Amino acid sequence: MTFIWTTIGAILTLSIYSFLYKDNPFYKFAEHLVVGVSAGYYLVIYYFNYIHPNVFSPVFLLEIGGEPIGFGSFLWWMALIPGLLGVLLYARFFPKIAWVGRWALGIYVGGYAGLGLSPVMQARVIEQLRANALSVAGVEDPFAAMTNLALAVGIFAAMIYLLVVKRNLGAKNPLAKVGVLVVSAVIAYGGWLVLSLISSAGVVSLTNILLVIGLLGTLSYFFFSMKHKGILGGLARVGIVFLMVGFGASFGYTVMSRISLLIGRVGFLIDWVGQIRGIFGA
Amino acid sequence: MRREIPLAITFLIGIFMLVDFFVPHHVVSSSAEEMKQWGTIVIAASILLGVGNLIRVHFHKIRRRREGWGYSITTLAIMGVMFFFGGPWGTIEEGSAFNWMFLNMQVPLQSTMFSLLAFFIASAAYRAFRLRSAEASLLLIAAIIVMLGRVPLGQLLTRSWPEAIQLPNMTEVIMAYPNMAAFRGILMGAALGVMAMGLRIILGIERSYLGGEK
Amino acid sequence: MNAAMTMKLLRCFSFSAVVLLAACAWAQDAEPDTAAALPLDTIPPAPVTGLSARDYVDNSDAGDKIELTWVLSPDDGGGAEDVVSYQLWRSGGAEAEWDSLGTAAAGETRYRDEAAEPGVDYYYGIAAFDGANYSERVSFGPVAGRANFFQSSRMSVLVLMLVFFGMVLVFTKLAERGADLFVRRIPGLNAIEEAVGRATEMGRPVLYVPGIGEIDNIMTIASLTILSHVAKITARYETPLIVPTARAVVMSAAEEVVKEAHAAVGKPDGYNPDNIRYLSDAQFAFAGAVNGIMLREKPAANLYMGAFWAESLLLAETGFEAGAIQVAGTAMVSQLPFFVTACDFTLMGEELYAASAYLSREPKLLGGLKGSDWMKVLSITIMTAGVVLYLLNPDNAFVAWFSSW
Repeated sequence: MTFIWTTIGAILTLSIYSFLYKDNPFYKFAEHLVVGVSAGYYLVIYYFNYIHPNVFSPVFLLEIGGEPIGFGSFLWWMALIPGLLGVLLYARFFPKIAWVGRWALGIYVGGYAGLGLSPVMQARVIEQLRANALSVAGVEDPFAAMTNLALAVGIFAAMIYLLVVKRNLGAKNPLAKVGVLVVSAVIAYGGWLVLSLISSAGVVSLTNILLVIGLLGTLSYFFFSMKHKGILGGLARVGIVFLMVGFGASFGYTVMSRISLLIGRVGFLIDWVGQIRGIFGA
Repeated sequence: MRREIPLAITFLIGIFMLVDFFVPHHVVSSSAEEMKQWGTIVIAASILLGVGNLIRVHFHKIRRRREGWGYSITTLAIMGVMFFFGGPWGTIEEGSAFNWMFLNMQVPLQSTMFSLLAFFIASAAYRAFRLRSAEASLLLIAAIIVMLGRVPLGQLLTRSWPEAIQLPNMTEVIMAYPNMAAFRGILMGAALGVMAMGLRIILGIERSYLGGEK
Repeated sequence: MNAAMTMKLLRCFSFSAVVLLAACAWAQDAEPDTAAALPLDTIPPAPVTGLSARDYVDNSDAGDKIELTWVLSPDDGGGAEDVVSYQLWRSGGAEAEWDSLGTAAAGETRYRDEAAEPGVDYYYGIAAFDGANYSERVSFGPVAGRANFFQSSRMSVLVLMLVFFGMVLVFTKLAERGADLFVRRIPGLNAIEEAVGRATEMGRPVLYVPGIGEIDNIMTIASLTILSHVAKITARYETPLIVPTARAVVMSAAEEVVKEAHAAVGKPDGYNPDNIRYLSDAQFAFAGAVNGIMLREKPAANLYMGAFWAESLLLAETGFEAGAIQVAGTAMVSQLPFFVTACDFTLMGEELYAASAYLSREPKLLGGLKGSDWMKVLSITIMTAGVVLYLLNPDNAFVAWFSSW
């Protein structure tokens, strides 16, 4: 029995992979199958996991998790109200009362909008700001730190200068742009290497100041109420540089995990072939 | 009236949930919990809307004999079978037909679909390679460094180089600094966007999601 | 043998004897000491100091939690190294009986009483225990648990929220009064219009995927606003607009939005309900089905706006191979790299929200953008101030505040 199911799984797996060649009846079948299976699955699961224990059982069977509750009691009402809200979603099919259907949506969306605001402020603004500013906390010697700051600002200025100058010269050739970026990167990296020869604290502070500059640039890119010209324009360009490097890095970072997914599926197919050989005594 | 009541409800609930973050009093926090529960129930109740739509679309396709209508029969039939085995008269426990179908159809199909990404990420990388803009080159260079830096090959290739430019070390620096800075920038910008939008929703300025104004 | 020689021998002998005796004494001493120390230990450890108790505030505060903190007994870890645990007591009054509350391991300086009656004054006692003897009991009181109405550790969040909301509302008011707020054109928006235009020219449909986020996700709501704009263009030119969704409520909202867009441009009959489709709540079943739509119904423009997870690249690569113009918009940082490589244009992060505000062209919404920009200025200022002040003097008061605000 298990073998039959594994075979079905394997055939479906191969059907999906056939999509890599082109769209074909096997893929179409597998795709329509999974849509149907998941629709049936969620229909049943949502009912048994949410509706039955939280609405149906308290309201009609008068029990919550096996404990009896009174008809018309507080808990009974607390189960009835969300149930009615769920029913309200279907009011849209009756044009006369369609507007009542928005109550449920209003409660849901308004509630989650309110719920999300403060944690977003805390976790994505305040915590990020704090982490970024305090990242310089590896610096022991204030003098070295200030030197590094000056150096970083210098490199930063050089990058902007090169980018702006190149643009003003009208260097349309993308290779020229690459050249500028490579030169800037080499300057930055060279500065970093020189510093790592001088002191270990210096390395920490310079790379951390990269964090500060990067965040400054990226935030500048997201300025909407000013034209991206002059200093803001330069900062925004720096922001794009950081964004692209960041995207490339997370792209590269994801590759291996995607390949391991593939390895997992191929392993499943190999097991299946092994089972076939076992059964037919190869 | 028809517009004001839903907006008033949105406003009151929104403010209540907003306040919940700052008010640890159990009366507030337990009511907020209750309302989150209501939210999940509303969402669970909506599944029938979705399934209804699915049935209607496929039914129309079959009735009008549009291209590929045979596959629509597959969808509706297998959904019916799932519902039959898992419905009120069925069982969803481990070992039941419902569970078997889930484990041997939905799970392998989904994870196979997921694993297609291994091929797609390769073709996307190839595409980036052919783009000739400065930005794309940056993206590609960073991607190659990080990709190689995370596998033994990268270490092998560069092990005789100065320590600072060995691939694993460069990967670490790229991940921890430029990547982190960009990540934070996007996160903070998006957070402000979310908050501004959330405020507009609570105040009833943004109401596209409610649809039908009339 | 001369006298001097004898003396030397004697000295050597006596020295050796002393060493030997001392060694014996030490060996003898060491033996019973380890064996009999516990039963014979009659010396209690030194008591703890600085016991204090306070009402503990957490996310669900019923006033039933009181947190005790203390400074370790000098014999815990140091001194005579003579503490194995701490015994805690609680009493309902200064003169009342002590009830045992629990124990804390050696080295702990914190204990949370989670069974206090709200509003009752309690006294707490603590003693160090060495396995045989209790130290002198130190007590603290009275202290009462209260259900709190404000979590003071979240003051900074509240303040920044109020500042931000204040700025948004002020700019919104200014905008309503007709102040000219400049908002730069967001390049991705042209791309959306061009993509839809091309689909119209080619007489092929437009595919709009509002992500797989639930409707409580703000990205989904921003996406519905952009959908309303796109639907008006497609309705006007009678271009089919296919909207596959992964969430039933989003499907139902999208239906309303598209239907309304048709009504708004005076073509209510052009609305085709079969094009707004719920596919599947399952992530990859959804992605597979959308891929099918791309290959079989051949949309000329694919727009991905909203919250996407790993399916982003499956969609965008298939769409690319099918030859569609693709514009994406999401604030999911992890998926942006894939959209950036596979789409013709990508609205990144806040641009998605800004686009929805920009499209509505309502001054009210532009006020929000202006407010966000000023918040960015404030953030950059705070960060720079933190860095500079830290570098000047890591010990200054601002740095201390900054690390714990």
